[in-house]
Amino acid sequence: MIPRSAVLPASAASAAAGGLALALLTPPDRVQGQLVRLMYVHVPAAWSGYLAFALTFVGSAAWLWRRWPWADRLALAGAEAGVFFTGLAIVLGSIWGRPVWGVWWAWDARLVTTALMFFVYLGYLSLRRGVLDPVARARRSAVFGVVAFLQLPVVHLSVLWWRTLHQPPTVLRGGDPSIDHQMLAALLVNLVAFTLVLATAVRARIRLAAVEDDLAERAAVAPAGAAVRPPDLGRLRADV
Amino acid sequence: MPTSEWWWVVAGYTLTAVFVLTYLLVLHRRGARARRRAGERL
Repeated sequence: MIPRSAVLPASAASAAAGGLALALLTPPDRVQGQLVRLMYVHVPAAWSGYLAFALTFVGSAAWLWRRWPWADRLALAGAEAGVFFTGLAIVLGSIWGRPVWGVWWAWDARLVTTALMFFVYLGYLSLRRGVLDPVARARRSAVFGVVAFLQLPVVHLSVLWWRTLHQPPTVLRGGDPSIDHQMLAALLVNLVAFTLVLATAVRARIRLAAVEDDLAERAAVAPAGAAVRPPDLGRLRADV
Repeated sequence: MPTSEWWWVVAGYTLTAVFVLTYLLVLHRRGARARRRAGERL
């Protein structure tokens, strides 16, 4: 019997194993050949980045609404995970783009908006590190977290709004997904696996933030004598 | 051509596994360290 706290990581590992098996067993693409298999990690990484930034939005809005401490921790956990998964999606896209497009990077609307989003959330994390007062930090980052989320629809729809090298949506679009059903099944299993990995990471980061907040609070309310040692009067008198 | 295609796939999958496992491990260790520090303060 596995402990309750291990259920989520174990589910993520099982889904990842299943996703890997399906990703390797599905047939190659007629145009891209084996390279299509990079889709099974690139798309879920980008999806997890979107989802994580949505968590930051929810946490930020909830903090502004009710000042719940957990909401600030959720926003932080989402931003960190979002930066990680978006960075991973950019690197994997580059590895996929080199053999398919012939370039590591292109000044394409989807790529540029994604990179911008990545740097904006890096700015969010820098802002959090730069403010020491916990309430001011939570307020400023919550406003940032709500405003920054506005760019997410722009990133997703950039492939429809502008002529781009990047392909348009194949799953999240109106009508039937424009993808072979076997490939779609492998993609969906990998989407579930990445989402579970994201949930594991976010949960771990929220718990860490709770312990850090607790430590900071205890340090703030500690009596003056705990931080500053009283002068040794006997020794002072002897010196005089 | 197919062989070189597989190398790109292997590179992508390996990178994903290394990045994700490192990320989770770092989070786990930071959490353990913070909990230990909190325990020491009690």
